[in-house]
Amino acid sequence: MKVETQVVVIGGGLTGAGILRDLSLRGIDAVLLERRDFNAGASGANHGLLHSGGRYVVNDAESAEECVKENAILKRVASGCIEDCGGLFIALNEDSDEYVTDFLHSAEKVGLNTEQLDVEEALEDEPYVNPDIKAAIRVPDASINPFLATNSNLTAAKQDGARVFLHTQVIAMKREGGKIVEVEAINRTTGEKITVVADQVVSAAGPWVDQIGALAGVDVKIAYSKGSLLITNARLVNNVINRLRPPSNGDIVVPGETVTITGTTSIRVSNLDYLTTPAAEVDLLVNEAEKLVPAMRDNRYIRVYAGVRPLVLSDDTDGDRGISRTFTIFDHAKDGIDNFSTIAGGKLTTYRLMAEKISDLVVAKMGLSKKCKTDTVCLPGSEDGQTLDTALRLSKLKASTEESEVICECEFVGKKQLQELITELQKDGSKIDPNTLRLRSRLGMGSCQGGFCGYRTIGFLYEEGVVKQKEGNKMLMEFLERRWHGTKPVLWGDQLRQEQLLEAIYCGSLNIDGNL
Amino acid sequence: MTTQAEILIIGGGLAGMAAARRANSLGLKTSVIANSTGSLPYTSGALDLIAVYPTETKFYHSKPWETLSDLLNQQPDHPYSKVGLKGVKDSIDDFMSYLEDSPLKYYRRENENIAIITGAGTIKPTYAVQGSLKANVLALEQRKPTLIAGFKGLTDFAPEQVVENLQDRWPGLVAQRLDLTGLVDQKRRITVANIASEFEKVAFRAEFAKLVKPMLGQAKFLGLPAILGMDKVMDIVADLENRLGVEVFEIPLLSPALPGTRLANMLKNDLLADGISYRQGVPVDRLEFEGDKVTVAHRQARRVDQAIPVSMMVMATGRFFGGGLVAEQHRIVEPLLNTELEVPASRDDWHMKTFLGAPGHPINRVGVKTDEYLRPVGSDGKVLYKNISVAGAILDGHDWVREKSGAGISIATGYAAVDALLSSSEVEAE
Repeated sequence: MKVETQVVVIGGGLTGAGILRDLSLRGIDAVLLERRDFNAGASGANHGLLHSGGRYVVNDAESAEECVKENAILKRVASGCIEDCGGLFIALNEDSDEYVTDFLHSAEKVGLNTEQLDVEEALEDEPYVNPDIKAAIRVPDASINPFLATNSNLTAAKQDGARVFLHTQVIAMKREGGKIVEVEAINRTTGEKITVVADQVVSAAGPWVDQIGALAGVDVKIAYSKGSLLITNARLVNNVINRLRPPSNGDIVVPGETVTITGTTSIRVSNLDYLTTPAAEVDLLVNEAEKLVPAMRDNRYIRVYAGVRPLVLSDDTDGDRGISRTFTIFDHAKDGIDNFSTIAGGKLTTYRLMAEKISDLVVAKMGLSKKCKTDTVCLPGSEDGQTLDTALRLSKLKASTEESEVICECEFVGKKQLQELITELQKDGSKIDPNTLRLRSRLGMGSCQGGFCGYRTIGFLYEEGVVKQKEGNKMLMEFLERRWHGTKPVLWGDQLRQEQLLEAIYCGSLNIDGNL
Repeated sequence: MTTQAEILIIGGGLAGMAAARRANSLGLKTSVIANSTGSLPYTSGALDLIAVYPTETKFYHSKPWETLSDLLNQQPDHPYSKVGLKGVKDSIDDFMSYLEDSPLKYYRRENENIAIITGAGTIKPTYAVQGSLKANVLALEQRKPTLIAGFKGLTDFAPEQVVENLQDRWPGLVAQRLDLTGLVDQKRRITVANIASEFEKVAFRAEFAKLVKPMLGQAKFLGLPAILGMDKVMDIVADLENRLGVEVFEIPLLSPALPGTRLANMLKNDLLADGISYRQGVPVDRLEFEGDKVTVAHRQARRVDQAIPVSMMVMATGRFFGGGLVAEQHRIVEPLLNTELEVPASRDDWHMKTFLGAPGHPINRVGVKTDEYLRPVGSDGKVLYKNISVAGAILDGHDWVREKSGAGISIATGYAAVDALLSSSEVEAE
């Protein structure tokens, strides 16, 4: 297949989706290529935190300032993806007094609104938080559903004519003179080759930007920093809880819809495609989370996941926490390729700004003067200003699934919703399996983590004729193994009991891995 | 007030029930305390003896007694090895003859494993099944034309999945989804429990037969999800076969499922009818010891401590799911004896990298160590308590899920645990 377009964007994380959307809104024809499904990298493996900027005020004023501005913009244009839960920075008795003063002072400098609370007032608001605190500062942190955010950007872009190719890996770039004239990709599901001819090529491939750069013969220097996060099966806090100290491991606890997420770590890795989190790293996160919220000790952890931050290297920093979390745009004209640019670094909160800046560059390279509109035009699902409200969402889902049939009991995903998703995915010719449905519906994101609904989903795919012969059972095995990868490091207590039941069902009762 | 019992059995799963049957048949005053329903309702009701050995190879064996002989030679610490071939055979035969003669009419072939098709369209080897699954075994063997029927609205069973997965070797398999609208009260959701209670009604079965008969075509068998009522399942199957003129069988579903619940209910009711004491819901949470003997078991009933004097005790408290073992973040403990178990030092090594597959998770082989009389021993190998024996999945040295040996281990060690207590108390009396 040959595809002609003005701009090809490589990478289907939130940044790539944001760029696609930004360009489409400017009236530029664009195509997105993603090797796996959307949010397969760090966009799908983070806190789901819309930073107020507080985390960065003391050490990284530039990042902080970006966050302050983007926080306000996104609460307006992406309200449907955001739960405006607010945030607290709390200092434990053991933490330094100096940092508290620094924090307030630096916040003022970057324009971050803060409010110092009485400790008692803070504890009333957050009964599970460690009572041994000496300071609590309120900031406008929020929680954001990154799957919804990326999907909304992709949907918006598609409505404006953009084309999205998921499960499509870039395998080669053809250069002629100082230009990339063809981007060659392959659909990993069907094996079909796709040749994209575009005026401009943008790489937003996250930690894979160096590999994409290499295909074009360009050296992009980044480091891989892995961060692991844990999810509990219950929501324990109302606000985002941050530790009021210099950024460190496990210093943020975020309420995400029905669960709580805590993390992260920062560990250099070399292999991007097989991330593991050993028990020791899990234990560190549990210990740190417990200091902020003691109930996190006895809570049930249902999964661990890890993402890789691409850190753009500079010489004057000590340690990865010291590297700025702001983003970098590489204009590869400097490397002799006029129509190729890369964006790396940054964070979820600033995805829109990142998309704006690189789109500005691309548009300028094309000799156009179309202005960014993403700071004022709302994303689909956010037009009415309604924020993400879990109770409302669940009650709506419950009402709509009562007459259909419930597949996922933890998150009330019914056959009707899945049918709609399947129709949509079939229209795009996209892959359909429990994982693609999970990303688009929260199926399997509750406390059984797909242990039961994965099975029902496969039965439903057979019922609908979407899968044939043994391919559905093969998908189920893959789904179970993928799920296991995230569950294994947190197996103790009740989570281990649940896994033993699932093992008895799938291996014992169903003999699903048997060779009879 | 306290109650006196000759033998106290802790645990209401299959091992506890087998021990209780054994103790009662030997004339002991028998008392069972279960923390809940036990794990039986979560099983398929199929009883495994041994089908896969060694687990590294995933090799499937059709002759369980021969496999068992190999295992006894090669794994002296396996629970079966503590019981011995004769002990296993005698206890299985005794327990099976009870089940074969029961209203659930269990079906087995004495010296051979059998296989059934499951709701996932997979084939599971086992040793014995409820009578309602007998035709499942036969249909799979004969591969005659068979209709697999599910129900519109029942998300737990997809007949299409069964047929798609098996049709390469069983071409006469056909899937149908039946629409029960009009047969079932509109307000009742299509769930396993609701349909099961409908099947208990003659009127529903008559209507159901009318609906399904025209769809049978050449079919000699009709396979339905395992929701054909509760304890009267065999009458229901017979009635359907009579109305339809084909053999009818059940297909096991994702748990918790009815066949396991039927078995659990029957075992409990029969033991109650035999006059044993059965208490459920409040677990024993503490034991008192004097020297090398347990003397008192405690449980907190309505916040009042209940002290139960113990002369002999069988511990059949299950593994993690049943609460017999507790996994803390860094160690695994058995809470009643309050012992820490031998376990890989790092939690990274408790499980394999893959969920399924060979040889099995190291944690699965962790359990309470015993001597040859199933009495718990310490890390030095010395018997901890002389009047306690241990039965069922809590024992160390096996992987029942992968071996397909769960029921056999529970029954054989349940019997042996009782026998061992009696013989060691006789030895002491001399």
